[in-house]
Amino acid sequence: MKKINLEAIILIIFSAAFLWFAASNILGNSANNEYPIGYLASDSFQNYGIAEGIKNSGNYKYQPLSVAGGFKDVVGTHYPIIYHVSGLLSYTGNIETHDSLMVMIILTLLTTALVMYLIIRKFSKSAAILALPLMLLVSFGKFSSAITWGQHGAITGSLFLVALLWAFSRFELDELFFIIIFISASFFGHQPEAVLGVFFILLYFLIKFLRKELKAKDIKRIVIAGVITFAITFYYFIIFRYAWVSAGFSKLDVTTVQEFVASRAFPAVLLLKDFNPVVLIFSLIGLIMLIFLFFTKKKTSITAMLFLFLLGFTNYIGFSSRAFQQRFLWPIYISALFGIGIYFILKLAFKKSSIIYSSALFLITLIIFLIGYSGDTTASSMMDPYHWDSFKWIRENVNEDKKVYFFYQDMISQRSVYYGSSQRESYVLDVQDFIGDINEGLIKRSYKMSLSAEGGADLPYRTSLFGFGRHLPEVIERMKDRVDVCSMDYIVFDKVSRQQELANYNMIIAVKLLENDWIREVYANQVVSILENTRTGEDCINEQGINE
Amino acid sequence: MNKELMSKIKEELVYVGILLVVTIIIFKIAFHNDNLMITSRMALAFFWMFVIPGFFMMYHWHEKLKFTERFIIGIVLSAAMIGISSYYLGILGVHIQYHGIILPLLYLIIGAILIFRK
Repeated sequence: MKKINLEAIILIIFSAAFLWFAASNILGNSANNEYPIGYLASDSFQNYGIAEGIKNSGNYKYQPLSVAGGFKDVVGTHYPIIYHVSGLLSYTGNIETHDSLMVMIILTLLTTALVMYLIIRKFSKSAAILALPLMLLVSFGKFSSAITWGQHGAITGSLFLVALLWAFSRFELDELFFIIIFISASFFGHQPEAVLGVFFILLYFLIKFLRKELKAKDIKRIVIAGVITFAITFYYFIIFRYAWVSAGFSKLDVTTVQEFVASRAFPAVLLLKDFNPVVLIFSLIGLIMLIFLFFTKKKTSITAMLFLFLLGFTNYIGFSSRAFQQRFLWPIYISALFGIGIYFILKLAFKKSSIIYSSALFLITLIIFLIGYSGDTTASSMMDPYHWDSFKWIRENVNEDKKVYFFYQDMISQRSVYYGSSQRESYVLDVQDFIGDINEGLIKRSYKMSLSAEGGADLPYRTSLFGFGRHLPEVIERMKDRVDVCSMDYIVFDKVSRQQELANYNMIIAVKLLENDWIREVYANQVVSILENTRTGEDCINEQGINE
Repeated sequence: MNKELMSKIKEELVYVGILLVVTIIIFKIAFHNDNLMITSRMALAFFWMFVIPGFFMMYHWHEKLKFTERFIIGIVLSAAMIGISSYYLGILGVHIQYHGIILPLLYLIIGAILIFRK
C-alpha cells in the first residue's frame, strides 16, 4: 500500500483555507459580482481600468484611451503582467475583469505563500508546515490593504521576487533559467521588486566573497543571466527608463514611518505591533535562531528568509514607499520566523521533531486563526450598484470620442474611479471651487474641473526609440481655466450625497440645463442622472442666483 | 524517451487530475455564492493557463525536484512566461482574447519537446 503523502494533504488544506479566507474577506465569496467588490481606493480602479482597457484594445502598446485622458499615443507605462493575466482569466474563465483582477491577486498571494513554504522547507519541513497558518493574515484587516487599496503591482512583483530567492536557495547559480525568468517577470510585474532582486543578487555575491567562496565562473554565469534578462526586458526597459526614472520615481528617499504617514496618502503602514504578541514572541525566537544559523550554516535559504523580513525596513536606507509595500507581505515573510520559532521550541520539548507533530500543530493553529479572524464577511467597496450601473451605461452608450464630465459625487476625489470605470475620457469636479460657488449663491456657467487620467509618468509618448515627450504640461495648461458647462458632451450628476447640499446644487444645475431642448436626460436611476448635450458650444445657461 | 520517465509522467498525470478535481472543489468552497458552472470554469481556466504549461516545462528538472516543488514552481513559471509572452504578443498585434488558447498550447508543446528530448 502506498504511503499517505501527509505534506500534500497539509498543503491542500492550507490552500483551501487560504482561498476561502481571502475570497471571504475580499470578494464576499463570489467571483461573479454585479459591481466591483474589494475596491477601496483609487489605485484599485486604476488597475481595473488598465486591465479592462487592454482587454478591449487587445494589447498594452499604448495606455487605454480613457486612462491616457484621451491621448492616443501615450505608451503603456505600468507593470503589464497583472493586467494581462487578469484579462486572460476574464476571457477564459468568463468572469468580469473587476472580479478576475481580484481573483488573480488572491491566487498570486496564495502562490507566493506556497513558494515561501518551499524556501522554509529547505531549512526544515516541520518549520515550513508550522509557518503556514500565519500566512492567512495577508488577506485580513489592515494587512489586506495591499489588495483593496490597489498595491497589485507590488503583490505581483513580490511573487517573482520570492520565486527568485527560491531559485537561489534551491540551485544557487546552477540553473540560470530560473534566475533569468523570475527576475524578468519581476521587472514586468513591478520594477521595484526587480531592483530588490538585483539587490539580493549583489548581497549573495558579497556574502560569497566574504566567505571566500566566490569563483570566476560564478561571475561569468551571472553576467550571462544579466545579458539575457536585459534582452527579454529591453522593450519595456526603455519605457521604464524614460517614463518612470526620468520622472524621478527611482530617487532614493530615506523616510521614517512617522514622516511617511504624515506626508502622503497611502494604505495603512504596517508595524510589527499589528501582529499578536504571541506571534511576535515566536517570531523573535525564530529571528534569533536564523541570525545565529546565518553565521554557522551558510545556507542560502537562511539568507533569503532574513532578506525578505528585512525588506520592510529598507525605508531607512532609501527605499521609502517600496519598503512599506513589502510590509504588506509580512504575514508571509514573518511566517518563516514564526514557524522556525515554534519548531525550535518543539524540538526542545520533544527532542526529535516529527512531521506528524508539526502537522497536528498546524491544524490546531489553523483552526485558531480561522476562528479568531473569521466572521461575517468584511468584503466591501467604495463602488455601489447605482454608480456602477451608470458607468456601465456610459461604457455601452457613449462614443469613444466623447468626453464625460462628472459633477459632485462623494467619491469624486478618487479620480481613477472615473477613467477606470467609464472607460471614456473623463473630467471630474474640483470640490473646493464647487463649494466656493455654492457659498457665492450662484449658478455658474463654468466650473473648475480636472482631467481624470493616470498622470504618474506625466502621460509620456514616443518621439523616437529613445525619445519621449510628455502631454502633462498641455493638460495643465488646458485645465487651468474653468470649463464651460455648455461645451460638455455628457454631464453626470449625483442626486443624493452624504453632503446633501452638494447634491442639491448638482440638481439645480441639472434642472437649469434641462430647460434647453437640446439637452436631455439619457440615463437616470435613484442616485445618478446623466445628461447629453447634442449642441455643444451653444448658450445653455447664464450665471444667476440659486433661487432665480 | 526512457520508460522510467514515461511511467513517472503517467503516474503524475493521475496526481494532476486529482489536483484538478480538488481545485474545482476548493474554488467552489471559496466562491460558494457562485454556481458550480462559474467556479468550475474559473478553476479549469486557472489550471489550463497557470498550472499545465509550467508543470510540463518543469519536467526538465524532474530528477532534481520532486512533484510538489515542480507543481508549485510550475505555477510561477506559467504566470511569468504567459504574462511576458502575452505582453509581447499583444504588441505584435495578436489580440489578447486569443492568448488564452495560443500561449498555454505553445508552452505545452515546448514542454512536450523537452520531455521527448530527455
